[in-house]
Amino acid sequence: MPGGLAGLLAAVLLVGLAWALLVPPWQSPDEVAHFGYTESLAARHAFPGKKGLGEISTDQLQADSAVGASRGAFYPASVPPSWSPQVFRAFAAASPHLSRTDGGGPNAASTNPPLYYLYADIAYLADVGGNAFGRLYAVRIWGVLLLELTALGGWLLAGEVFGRKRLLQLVCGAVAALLPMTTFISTSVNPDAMMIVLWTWAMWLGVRVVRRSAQRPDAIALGLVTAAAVLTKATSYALVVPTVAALVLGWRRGTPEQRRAARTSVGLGLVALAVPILAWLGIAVALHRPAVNTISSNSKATAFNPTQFLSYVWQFYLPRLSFLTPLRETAGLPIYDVWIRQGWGTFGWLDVTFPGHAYAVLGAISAAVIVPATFLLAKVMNRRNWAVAAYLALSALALLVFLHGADYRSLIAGKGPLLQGRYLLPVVALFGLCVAFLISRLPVAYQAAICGVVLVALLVLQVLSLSTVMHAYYT
Amino acid sequence: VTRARIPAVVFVVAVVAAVVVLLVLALGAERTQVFALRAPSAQSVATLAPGRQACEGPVSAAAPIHAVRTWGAAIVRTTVLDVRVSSGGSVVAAGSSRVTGKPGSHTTVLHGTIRDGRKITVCVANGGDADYSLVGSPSVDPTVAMRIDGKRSALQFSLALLGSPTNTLSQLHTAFRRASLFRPSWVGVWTYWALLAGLFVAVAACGAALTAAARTDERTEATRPTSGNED
Repeated sequence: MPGGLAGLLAAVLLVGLAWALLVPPWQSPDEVAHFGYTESLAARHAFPGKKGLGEISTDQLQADSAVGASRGAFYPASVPPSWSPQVFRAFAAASPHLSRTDGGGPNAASTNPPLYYLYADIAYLADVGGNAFGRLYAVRIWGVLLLELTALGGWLLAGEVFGRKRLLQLVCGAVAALLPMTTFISTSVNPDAMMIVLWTWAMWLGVRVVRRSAQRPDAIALGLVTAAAVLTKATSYALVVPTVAALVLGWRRGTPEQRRAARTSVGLGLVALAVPILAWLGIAVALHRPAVNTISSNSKATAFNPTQFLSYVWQFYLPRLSFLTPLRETAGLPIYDVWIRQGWGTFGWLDVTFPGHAYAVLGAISAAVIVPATFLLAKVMNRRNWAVAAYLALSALALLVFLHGADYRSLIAGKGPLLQGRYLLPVVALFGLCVAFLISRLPVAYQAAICGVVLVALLVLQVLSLSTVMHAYYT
Repeated sequence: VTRARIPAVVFVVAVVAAVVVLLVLALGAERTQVFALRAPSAQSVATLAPGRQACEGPVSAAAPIHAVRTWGAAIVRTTVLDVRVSSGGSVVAAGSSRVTGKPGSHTTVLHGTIRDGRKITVCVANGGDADYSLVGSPSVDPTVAMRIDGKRSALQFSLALLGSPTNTLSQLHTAFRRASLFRPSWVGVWTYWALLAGLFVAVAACGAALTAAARTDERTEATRPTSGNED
């Protein structure tokens, strides 16, 4: 294993296990619904969403009730999880007699594609003889593998962008996997955990395709990973755009002879992308399931208006001008409230937070990384590297456009804001790349030392985050 | 110090500095909840005009009680909460705290300690001159009653009873004991101590990763033929 990677993976494993086991049962966004989906596939061998069935099984409902999970969601301070051993023992005694097959009705996750839940079912079935808590935590611990793959993906991405510079690879992998929200979400029962991995790996493969003139294994792997992301969460349709762009850019970069060979590779890549997606769409139609998540509207719904959409985007990133109609429901500037606060760390059901001033510091760190990295990138852009930079920028942009489109549609449908900071995590490795890129511009003599400081800062942030979670639920 | 050792030295210095900062933060005094009614702080359950009070009980805690936490907000301007804890008809502890219009929790430190296991009733009175909105939810525990000016309500105010102030380090065992419930059968308090030790190992693993990466880069640099800028 390359120098540094083993240590990084060991650290990520230990931190991931701490998250998986510390967060109380079902105290993560929509974890109740995601576990219900996992259980429906494993216990009923059927997709959830069947009308007439319960949202979750009796077994999960009783487990939730025993620990007070749903009652405590959003109110961890006044409703901490149950600390009663008697209540736990009573649940454990009753558990073997509770049904796991009467769930599977419509819930918040039931319209999602199935890939993550099939992955989660491996862990669910590994503890099928235990109780609901055993199965929940088995799935959470199984998520640590996804976190490891995110770290590896960040490492590989930096290796492809910067060459085999282990320090830069180490920093990129560490930032991608050790930001508190990545560890929290990756070790929750949530398809976003798999989204983060697949987007990170897609970006690595995309850079390979662009750099190496669309070689066949890279093109096929990129198509398959993108398709897997689409089968994980509908948001990943946004990834199709940069993937196709990478194939085109990779094909264009070759010599005329290479282009002829790359034509087949690009074709195979597109087939690898299209076949699984079309197969899933076919299955969804045959089973009368929604193929993509849709936003239902209510009576207040209005039609999509491009000018209004631009006004919405303006208000998300900049203070609202007096003549613009209000189109947000957060108290402050959404870029700060959503991307910065929730992107760095709001745990539980977004109800466990750092002190307010900590987010100001984290916001300043974000700006201190992204702004100079962008300027420096523009400065070093040349004929050799513009395509890679354009591809990576397109990946981030595609995600943002998709998310803002969905958020705007939700707002005009009268459903309120949709965005959460964790939705940016699929491109968290780009933040790692920015950090690594800034370090690469420093004199060589300082690079290793600054990498060390970044690693320590990440670990400190981890300890503070875990401590915040511990205080919120257990003291 | 050779070039290869510089990152290791910087890393160790940064770790030591971080540990000192974290220890200082961990030594700050905080109170542990010894009882929580678990009524969500979701809605206003009573508006206490000046002089009015709401009482809730009977409740008891498994450890001595030193403070009471309720949720709510003063309406319009700051007011004062007078908290009285009674048992067997007599007041056994009391305290006051100023509350602002910012919604949230308010901790009132009691003059006098209440021993563990004692059945108590907690009364919250508005001792200021502005209205106070007390927050809670519909009743979550039928054995506990909320009374407003003596009249029983179908609602309950959110209530937590707190112990004496201690630092984070001395709260760890309690936190780990609580965290180990509602977990797989193989998880116990020991698991959390092991995970805490694991965080120290993670620091060492990061240090080892840094040193290995720096060495590899240095070797690669040394063997690379001199060439132009790679930009």
